[in-house]
Amino acid sequence: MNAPERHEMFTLPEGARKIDISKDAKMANCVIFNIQREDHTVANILRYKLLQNSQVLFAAYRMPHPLEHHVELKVQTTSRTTPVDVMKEAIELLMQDYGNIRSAFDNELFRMEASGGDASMRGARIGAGYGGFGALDPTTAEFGVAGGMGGRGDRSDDVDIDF
Amino acid sequence: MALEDRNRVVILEDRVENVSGAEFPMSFDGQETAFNMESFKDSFDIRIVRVTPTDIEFDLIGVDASIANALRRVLIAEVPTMAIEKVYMINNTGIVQDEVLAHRLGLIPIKADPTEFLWKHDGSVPTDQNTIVFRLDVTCEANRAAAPGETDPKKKYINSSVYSNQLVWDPKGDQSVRFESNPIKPVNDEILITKLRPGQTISCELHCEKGVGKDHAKFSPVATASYRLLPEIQILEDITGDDAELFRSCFPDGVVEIVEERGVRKAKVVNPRKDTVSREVFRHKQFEDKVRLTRVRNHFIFNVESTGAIPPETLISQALDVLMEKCEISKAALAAAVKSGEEDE
Repeated sequence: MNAPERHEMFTLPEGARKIDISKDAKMANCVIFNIQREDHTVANILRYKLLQNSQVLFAAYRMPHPLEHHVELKVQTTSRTTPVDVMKEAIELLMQDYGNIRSAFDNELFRMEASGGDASMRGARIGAGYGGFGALDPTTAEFGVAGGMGGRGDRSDDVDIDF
Repeated sequence: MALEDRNRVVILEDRVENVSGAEFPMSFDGQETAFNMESFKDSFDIRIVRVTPTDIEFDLIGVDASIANALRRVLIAEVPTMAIEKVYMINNTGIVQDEVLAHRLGLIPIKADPTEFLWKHDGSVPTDQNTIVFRLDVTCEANRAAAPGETDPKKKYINSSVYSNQLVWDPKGDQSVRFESNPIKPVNDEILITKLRPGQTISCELHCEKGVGKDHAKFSPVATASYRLLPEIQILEDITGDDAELFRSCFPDGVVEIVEERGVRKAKVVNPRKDTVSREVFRHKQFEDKVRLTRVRNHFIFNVESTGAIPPETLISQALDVLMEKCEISKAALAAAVKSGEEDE
């Protein structure tokens, strides 16, 4: 009866701003970013990136109440830069980070498909029968394709199932 | 603390030490903790250990816990999929209530590529671009060919159990052309939806929409996504003879092997990755000072199990894309906030 709508967790209401900036009255060069409709996923990575900046004196986030879907990120910097600038930098660096991870992942996948799968199974035993749990789709011949995965074309191969 | 040790979470008999990293400014005099693109590129690595049609195991090395955790959270809650959202009950004379049946139908994973569909907003018209339509029409009858005195309902009745393969896709608009090569159907054919008896019938139209796990768990593309830190076992003093055998039995098979060195049988750690860190070693007094159990703080072993709707490799790529999009949104929002702040002044 009192339950709030689930989509309230991520849809921004009309007219509200996603990020609100307010200066902290007591400390110099300190700003509080109030990010609406976000949770620990984004706040924690922003906090981490901010702390890696040597100009940042203080960076922390909190979720004032779990039922109110917004996070507060408090940032204080030295007088050489401003919190808004370090925040912009942090977001840029994060995007680069995830971009690097994405391309590294794609390269690794491509490398695996190119070498047919088996040779690049670092650390895995061929026929590691965890494929047995692939019995999610028992009506097709996909389960138990143990070991090498050379991309989607290989799924119909006849491979020994090692239970 | 030495640079190596800073990177380790120490596991003692009754507690865990050094849990949170000391990677904040000015924590260690003279040691550089600020971000350095070069050192990141050197230490960062991603290795895919195993890919199957349903799961993927890969290692993410050299990133912080917050980045790995964000990836895990996004995999569970923010990668969109298609799932049955609206059930239009035309007739349901079965025992299972309408709402319970609708709930069960919603949880069935649908093998449809969510990137081919648009988001549907509340109140907007269902179109072939944002909705998939299924029909479920089942009637249970008595099986006249069954032997008298037969007790097995599968033989005594026809359609006594309703399975997910009885969901019939009704292609609308250009869907039959777009999905000619991979028709839309539930991922598994053997999901039991409900049970019926003769005379009972279910007739309903199901609409699938795009959604995210944050909205409802039925939209989550993963059975689960989890990670663990790479365990590390350091033998500080040689463990020999019978003690070595006991030491080996304290760990899962394959973690520790006995090697012969100059006539002495010693224990050697060969594959710490397989260890489940049960701390069985600490139950034996003789190993107290000879072994150190740690975990490597920035080596994450991810295990992602897909429900089947999206192949696991694509899942990871999509999750990373979602994360980048979140950063984009934050960037734009920050610019907007700064601008409106300037206007106010």
